[in-house]
Amino acid sequence: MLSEREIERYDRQIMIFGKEGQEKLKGAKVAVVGVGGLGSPVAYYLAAAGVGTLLLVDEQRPELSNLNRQILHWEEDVGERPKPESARWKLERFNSDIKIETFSGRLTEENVEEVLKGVDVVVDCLDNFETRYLLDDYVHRKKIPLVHGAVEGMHGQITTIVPGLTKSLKELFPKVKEKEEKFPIIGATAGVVGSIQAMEVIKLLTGIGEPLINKLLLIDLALNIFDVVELK
Amino acid sequence: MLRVHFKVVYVLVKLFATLIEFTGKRKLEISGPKTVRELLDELERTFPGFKKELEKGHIILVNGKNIEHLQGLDTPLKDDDTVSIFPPAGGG
Repeated sequence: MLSEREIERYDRQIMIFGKEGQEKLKGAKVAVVGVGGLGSPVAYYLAAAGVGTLLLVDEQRPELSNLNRQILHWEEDVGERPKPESARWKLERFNSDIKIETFSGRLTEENVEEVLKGVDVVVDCLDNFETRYLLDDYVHRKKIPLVHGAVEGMHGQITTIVPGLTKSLKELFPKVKEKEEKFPIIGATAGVVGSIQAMEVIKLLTGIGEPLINKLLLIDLALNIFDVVELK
Repeated sequence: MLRVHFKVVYVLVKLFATLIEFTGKRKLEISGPKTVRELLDELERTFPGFKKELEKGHIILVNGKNIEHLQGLDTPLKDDDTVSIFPPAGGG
């Protein structure tokens, strides 16, 4: 049941998906894996939308050079607490009606079951494909959706993996060459891609609209290209 | 009147991100390639250095299917196929 305060807080979005939709968000647990450039807007908007429980997973601490894009981390966090804790501090003050859980460590084959236990949707906000494939395997074992997003420079891509309905991430992106050096990135690119990932989660949970199932959205902000490639 | 039609394969190629910067093209129609390999050869002729650019990491989809799950570079192309080539982003 939604409280009076929640009904007021979420008034404008209840106009979109009703109290029923809002209750679905409230009842959900979403894992944001990677609390960096993508994870910041994803966690921020999911907290704003009233997703009942957010699980934040990351092993790093914020660095000064992260701040051009990782907007949940501030100057005072640089080199201090791990990213999930840094983000938790803000999100709890932003929305005290939701629960923030954290795991400050590296996700491995050994701990993934324990860390992601009970999660309804996983959001891939990672910076490497090795760990992405770990998430991919996990969501296929649990038969839960995985919202994939990635950015570089001024471009990015988003697709939603639903076991049984779509190909796996590994099938879609086999043999991706891992970038060894640091790659260029501007915060607003991650903002756009992360916001779309947050919408994917909201659509999956409330049932409104059409998630990017069997569709790959390719975005090029340098040239204002938004192209949906049908994945059959 | 007798008309002779020569079968020419026209393939729509869609490029993305850094490949648009490299070629200056978002879309192009290429005639003649019977396989993905031939298409890449043609793109290399038109845009010297194209293959080198692909070495940075790229994904090729033929009508939405990754060629890794088809026949790789030997994947046959037919009229009106759409080939999407993009460098997958990996960062978060």
